Amino acid sequence: MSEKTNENIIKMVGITKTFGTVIANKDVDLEIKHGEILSVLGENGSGKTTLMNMLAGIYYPDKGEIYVDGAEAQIKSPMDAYKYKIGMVHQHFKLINLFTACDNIILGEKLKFDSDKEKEKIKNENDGTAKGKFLAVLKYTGLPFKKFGKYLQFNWLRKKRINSLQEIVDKFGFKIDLSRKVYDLSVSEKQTVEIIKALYRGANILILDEPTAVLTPQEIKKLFDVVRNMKEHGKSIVIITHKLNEVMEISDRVAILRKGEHIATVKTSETTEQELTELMVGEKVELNINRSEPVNSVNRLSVKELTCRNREGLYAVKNVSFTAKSGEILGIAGISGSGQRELLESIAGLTKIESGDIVYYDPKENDKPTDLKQKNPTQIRELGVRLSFVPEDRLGMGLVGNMDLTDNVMLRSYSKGHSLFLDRKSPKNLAEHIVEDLSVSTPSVKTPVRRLSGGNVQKILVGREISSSPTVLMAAYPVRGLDINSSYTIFNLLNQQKEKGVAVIYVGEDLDVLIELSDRILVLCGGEVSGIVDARKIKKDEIGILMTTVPQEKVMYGEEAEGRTDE
Amino acid sequence: MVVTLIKEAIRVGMVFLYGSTGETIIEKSGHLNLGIPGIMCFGAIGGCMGANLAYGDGTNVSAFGVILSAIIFAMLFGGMMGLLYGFFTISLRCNQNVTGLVITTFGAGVLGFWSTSIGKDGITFFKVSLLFTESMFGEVGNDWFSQIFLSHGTLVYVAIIIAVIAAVVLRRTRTGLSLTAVGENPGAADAAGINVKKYKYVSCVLGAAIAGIGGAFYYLDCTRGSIEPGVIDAMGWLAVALVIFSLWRPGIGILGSIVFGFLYILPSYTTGLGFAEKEIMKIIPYAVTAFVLIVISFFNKKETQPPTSLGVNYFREER
Repeated sequence: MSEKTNENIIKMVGITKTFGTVIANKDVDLEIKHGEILSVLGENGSGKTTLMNMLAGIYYPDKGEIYVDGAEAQIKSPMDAYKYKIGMVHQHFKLINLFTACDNIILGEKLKFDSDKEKEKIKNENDGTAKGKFLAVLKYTGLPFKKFGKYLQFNWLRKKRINSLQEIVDKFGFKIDLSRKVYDLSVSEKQTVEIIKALYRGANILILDEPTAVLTPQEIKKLFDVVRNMKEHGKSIVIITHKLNEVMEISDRVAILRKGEHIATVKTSETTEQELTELMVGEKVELNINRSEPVNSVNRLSVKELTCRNREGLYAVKNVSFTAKSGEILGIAGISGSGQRELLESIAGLTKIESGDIVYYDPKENDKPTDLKQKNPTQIRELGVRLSFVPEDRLGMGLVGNMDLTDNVMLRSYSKGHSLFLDRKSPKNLAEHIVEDLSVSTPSVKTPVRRLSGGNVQKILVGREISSSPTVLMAAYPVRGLDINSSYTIFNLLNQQKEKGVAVIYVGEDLDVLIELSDRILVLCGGEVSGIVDARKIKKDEIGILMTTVPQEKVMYGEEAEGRTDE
Repeated sequence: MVVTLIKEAIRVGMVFLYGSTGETIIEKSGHLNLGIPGIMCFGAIGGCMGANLAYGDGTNVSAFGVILSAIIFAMLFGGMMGLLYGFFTISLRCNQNVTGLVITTFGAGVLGFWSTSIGKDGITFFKVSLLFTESMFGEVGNDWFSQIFLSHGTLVYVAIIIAVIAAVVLRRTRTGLSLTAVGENPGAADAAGINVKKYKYVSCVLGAAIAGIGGAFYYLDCTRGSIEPGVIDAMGWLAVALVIFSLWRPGIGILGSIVFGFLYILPSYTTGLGFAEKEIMKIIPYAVTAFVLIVISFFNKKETQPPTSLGVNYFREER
């Protein structure tokens, strides 16, 4: 570490950024010091990413100044950011799938040709002998061609490029093969490529946006080792996150944002998780999930040796067997893309099953077993098996963005009417009910869903499925991208359903939540079950290992391995 | 007979090659320009005007000057339409398909109007077209090799040279790498410090300019100066289909264009066919393209897919 440790490398003063009428950042002051790890902490929508995007040149601030090493800087594009040695690893990786890791790293770099320097080099290599003179003359004549080649930016010296990158890889201790195509890489490898890219561009300040969101505990540990290593080499690192335990573990200082405003910057060694939470949320909050013991559990849904393929024709789910019981929350853990989506969709009848059985025990008919394989999605829904899937883009499945709340609620009931015209009254009542019960903040039930914020959209989606009094409720990523308060509203909703005797299947990303919320946890790895464990007894690390361990002794090859990395 | 057929196939195929090389360059930047037929119409107008301008009254004419003037004017006219398309889709972020179709309809209309009005004035391009159909290598022998490879007009060789350069630039240079990146994932390219707007504009204008030469080539070489509206925009669609057929690689496009040219002229060289049969035979290039689409989707290889963000306009600050 240098002696400059206590000097600011970046100073942001009075930064304001608005999107239309939404204020993303308001008068934010932030300082980043040489060679430190700074966490930027805040709930979703608190403007962390927007603030950092302004350093990376993706957005330009409406008001305020940025100083790099004491001098004012205008960062108008990502190019400018690289000029000031700022590199950012975005949450959604900015990689070209079709290119090799190496090509992705060198992308956008300009080849420079300095003819004076080249001439100097030839002069120095000339040893005065006849042969040397001859070679020098040859090289002089070759110069214009070389210049033309550089001007056209020829790109075929693959080996040379990989070697120059390998230096960085070795220096910071990455483990990656740079000649592989990006679509073949796992999530954590893609992240590594992004980090190498920033370092290759000479970044001294590295911003990582939610780097741990998609990693297993083991991968997080590896990442943190690399981050510490970079700090040793004098880099400043900013980590955007909302996970408190990671903040405590890795950072030197924490900057807290709330609703676009900078609340405080504290030293990690002088604070506690509780204090940080209060600063972040702005009030004292109890972050407990009241998990009750399951009562009168009976088998509600049993899946036996289910196998199905995804849209690309690869095996997504292989020989999965489990039983969901009433009055119980079954958590499903796994790296994203391990077959969670296809598993739920095949139960809901949306994906074709290749082999295996799905049996539903109908409580209305004295738990009579019903074969779900022979029912169509509508019939399955009528039986009370409900799926609420929150995809990454939130509006992709389940809700129609341009329609208002009433119409979206009606999507589930329009076929029930018996007259020629639609019955709008009862869905409207239901929509108003949901708005009231779940405290959805919306101008009215006539507002198009896409105008609402993510949390409110998800409340409507989950609320609609719950309102039909289901017997099996499958919720996939219902808190994806939600702030703490909204997340706990949803968790409480799921718990209420469980207490009512519904068999809840919860697919989640955050292992801490899965362990706190579920009764049992099913761990998927590459589309297969690598374990069904008791959530009250298991530790996070153990789940992490299960998530990356292929069941049984066989080794993964070809299509199964592809199935894993496929998102 | 076979030699003549191949020779003519190469000649007509170059119209498709100009169009598809241009369209490939545009599509690589993530813009689906359905205005190619219209752009080729404009290129035809520009090319004919440029050639006539340099030809003057027919005295003291240098063939090189006339051809160069035709190329420059065709590129200018085509490039102008490319710029218009780029302004609408890149800066104003209009729907790409609608903009493209507007340009196609516009171009076909303007060509029709132009050709009738020059017909009234009695302007013909027959004499000037002789400079274009004349072989680049002078008098050549009657053997099959010289007939197939050496007997063409200059613009045929220009088409192949442009396609080869495009293939090398797209696959072997950083410029090509960056352009591919812009078409695959503009957000990523932007974050990597590539000037996305500049790349999109340059590729839209350059691609349209190249397609424009195709239009000029058709009237000045293939039809020997007789202007028949309605044909070139039909050929423009085949050029767009050829982009898919060639899997977005101008190198394959050279071969594909000759195949398309062969299929295109086959009906007129087959004797004893009724009108209906001839019309059915004209479908073959489209059917072949559909077949290629089926095959590439069957293999599902990532390298043979269209650019990922094709047809999607890019706006950096979108949330």
